[in-house]
Amino acid sequence: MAAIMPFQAPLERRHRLISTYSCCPLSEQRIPTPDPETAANDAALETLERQGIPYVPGYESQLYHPSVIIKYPDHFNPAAHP
Amino acid sequence: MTDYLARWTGKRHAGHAIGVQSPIEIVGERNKHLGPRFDFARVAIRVEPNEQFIVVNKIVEEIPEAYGFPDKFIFGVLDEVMTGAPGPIENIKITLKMVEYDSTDSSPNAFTQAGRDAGRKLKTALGLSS
Repeated sequence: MAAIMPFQAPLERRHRLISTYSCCPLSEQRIPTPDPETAANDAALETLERQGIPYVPGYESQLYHPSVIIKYPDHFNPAAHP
Repeated sequence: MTDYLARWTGKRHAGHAIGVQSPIEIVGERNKHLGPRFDFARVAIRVEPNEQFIVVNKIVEEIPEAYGFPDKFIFGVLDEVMTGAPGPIENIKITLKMVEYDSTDSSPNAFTQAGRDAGRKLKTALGLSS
């Protein structure tokens, strides 16, 4: 019986997501701040920087698929709209 | 003048209308970290007794239309004040006094959530459950 090969694209996407979010806790540990909310913000900004995504109006368009932004336009900055 | 009550699509509470006795200053705020992104909006309002629900916009700053301000904010306020027990708070005049937004982190939903925050704070100020 032939082995069932998983689709490669979803797996790669999942690995990319895991690497994106798994670096946040590490970043939080490195940033000395007593405020958890500030730490989370700083970690998110550092994560963007590591991904090479400039923190400018519309940066969410590089984090979310255009179909998601089209479906929920109110939840995104107008500059992120496709 | 925009008739926000006519355009609001929520379901109002069946109880009889509640008013405010004296002016109340409120700041409705949304400042939230949502996974890899942020959501920010802040609006200062004054709520006064009035015979009917009206909104007066005293903000002179130009807010890009794409943010949906002030409609999204007002609908957020109505989501809270029209639906809670013991009845809707509708005999009020809301004066929009100040707005803060961020060209990177603000969205129409941020203004809706800031409006809901303002509505919750109004209910708390009136001693109603929020």
